[in-house]
Amino acid sequence: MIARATILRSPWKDLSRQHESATFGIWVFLASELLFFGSLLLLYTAYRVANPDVFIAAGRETDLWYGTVNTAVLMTSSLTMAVSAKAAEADMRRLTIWCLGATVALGLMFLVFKGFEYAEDIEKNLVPGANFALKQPAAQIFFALYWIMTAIHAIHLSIGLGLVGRLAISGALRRVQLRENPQVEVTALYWHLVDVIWIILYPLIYLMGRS
Amino acid sequence: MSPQTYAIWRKNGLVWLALLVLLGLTFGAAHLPLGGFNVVIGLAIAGIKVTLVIVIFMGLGNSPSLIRLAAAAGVFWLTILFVLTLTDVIASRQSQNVHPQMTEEHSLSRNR
Repeated sequence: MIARATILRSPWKDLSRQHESATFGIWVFLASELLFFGSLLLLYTAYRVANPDVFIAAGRETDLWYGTVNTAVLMTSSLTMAVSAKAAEADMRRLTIWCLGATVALGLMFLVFKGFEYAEDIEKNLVPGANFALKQPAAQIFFALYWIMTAIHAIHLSIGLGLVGRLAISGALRRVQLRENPQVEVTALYWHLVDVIWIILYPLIYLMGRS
Repeated sequence: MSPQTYAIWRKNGLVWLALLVLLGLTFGAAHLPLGGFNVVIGLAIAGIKVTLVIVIFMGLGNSPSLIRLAAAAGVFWLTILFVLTLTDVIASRQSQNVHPQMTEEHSLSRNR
């Protein structure tokens, strides 16, 4: 049995105050992340307003199936993450660890699909540059934004995998107490944000020019 | 399955089901020939999905006002960023000063 004191950090004197501060801190961080991704979305919006037809034609070149399946995978990982956080609060250790593990597995699945999709994009010459597949210059802007936004999203997801995986392993080895541990909630909130960003990217990247 | 486990899965599972149904809807709607409305529907459904994740999965619905304020601050600054920038982008487009569009000649001369 791990003592309650091990998850209590200085300068807090009790866990509930630490919990409030950690949650507040991660929300402030997530708000800054929103602005970070927001600036990329703004760039996308500005170029799309200026080149509506080219953006729709370029969007048609993305792989709708990889995008849609990955959206479902990521939303399912949000379910397991949410269940894990609730289970940690309710002191259900096994359920917490299983759901953390499932979240990692789904996150890895997302990255594997994304890797296959990237390979297909490279094969179709959809990397901006000299051999780019589409004629219109603005199509290169669309795909530059596609690569930047999805790659930054994948980096965020990989960081999330590290955080969730660490909790799953150290929780399973009883190196850390998961019950009421603020780290579980903070990690869950970060993971959900990565999902939220993808939900916004999905219609902007994959659903264009399909009608 | 204990009643507590069931309750956790039930609540979050329903949100997950709603998310999947919305994904199906947005996928289907994108294939309808609606012109400019396609992007409106796509973003509206994305907005509903994001709201579900933030309010229920992230628990913003039950959070103290300090947390809600932090989240609202992010949205507030994002709104300012979008509104002020797009005011310029859309206004200059309407006055035919096509910034930041790139025409064929412009892009070539810029690249060289």
